[in-house]
Amino acid sequence: MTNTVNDYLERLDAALAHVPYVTAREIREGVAEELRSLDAAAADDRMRELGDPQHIAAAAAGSLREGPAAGGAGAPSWAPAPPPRSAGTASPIYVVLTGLAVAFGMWLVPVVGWIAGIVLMWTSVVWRRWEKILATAVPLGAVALLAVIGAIVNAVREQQRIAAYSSEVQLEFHAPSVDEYAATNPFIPADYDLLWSAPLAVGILNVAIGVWLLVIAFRRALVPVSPRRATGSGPGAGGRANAGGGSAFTAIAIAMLVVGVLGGLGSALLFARPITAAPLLLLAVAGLVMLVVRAVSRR
Amino acid sequence: MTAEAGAQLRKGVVEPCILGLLAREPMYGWQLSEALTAAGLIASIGTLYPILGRLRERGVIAAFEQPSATGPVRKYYRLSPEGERELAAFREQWRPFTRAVERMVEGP
Repeated sequence: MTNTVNDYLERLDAALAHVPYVTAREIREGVAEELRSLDAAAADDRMRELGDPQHIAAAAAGSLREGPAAGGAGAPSWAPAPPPRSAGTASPIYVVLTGLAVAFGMWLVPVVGWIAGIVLMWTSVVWRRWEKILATAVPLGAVALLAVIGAIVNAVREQQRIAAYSSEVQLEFHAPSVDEYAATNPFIPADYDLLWSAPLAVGILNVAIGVWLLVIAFRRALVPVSPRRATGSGPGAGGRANAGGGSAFTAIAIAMLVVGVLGGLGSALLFARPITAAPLLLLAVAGLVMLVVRAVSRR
Repeated sequence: MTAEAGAQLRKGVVEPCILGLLAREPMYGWQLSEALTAAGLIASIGTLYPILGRLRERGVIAAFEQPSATGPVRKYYRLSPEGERELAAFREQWRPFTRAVERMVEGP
């Protein structure tokens, strides 16, 4: 892709900042796929035909505001009643709720909490299909992997037990001797190790995935904002219009940070239980990551 | 005719026009934009995507990705069975409507 095409797409991004994300993405992808299919000279012609990105964005905003047909009275009379709009699934509150449910649902209500988060995620229009598939498959894959490891460990331990019995031929019940302890490989985890560490590992993995989903959504809400690159009329118009979604994200990120730090430290000090503090401290880390991403994409 | 009346007319027919185009063959964004802009039905590609969004929400069109012969993977739009029904319903209203309007506006 030539520099002029990149430049045009950047101006389009800046102009589309005040257009709702889902529509902005469609326009951006539609224009980009067209320009990328052409050689430099043809792309130049096409960009002239497409016109000023500000006009494209203004037309999109106008078309969204007016709705279909005269007076914007909803679907035309010959059309069946439209289903409810899905735009709510792109709102900051919905997105953050989804990210938190994926990250911490498992900690609050085992299994069901996580499933709720995944269902919320699949319903939303913010994430792409491959991201949804990844967020669903990775924890399931991890569970499957841990199950396989558990099965192998059990098989190995069973072998050792048979070996120990057959060598000493002790049929009556007895306390394990020192020799028997020494014969057990200390690097093979015991059942109870796996039992409590496997959910912990999957839980932490889910926190990472939840944070990743939040970061993606968070960046999407902010990415079109690049006011310093915006050209033409309405300086900073995009940034201003997008500030609503952005500031909601910032407020939620700060709340996560504060609740996580205070709750984590509080429970660690009061109950002397690092395990209860861990998810709360992870919440604080998630909030911190979101704030850093916001700071970086603003610069 | 005032500019406002023209704009209202275009807005009223642009959705069924898109359905009509897609009834012939699946098309990608730029193709649709070019056809509709040439006919004076939309101002720019920016107008097109919100309309496509509404049509998809209503389930009358569907999008799918397909690699094109010359360029990258493109997003194509096609008519759904629901869209075919909607287009048929529009055709039934459109012909008597235009005949009636013609009779009235063209004079003796």
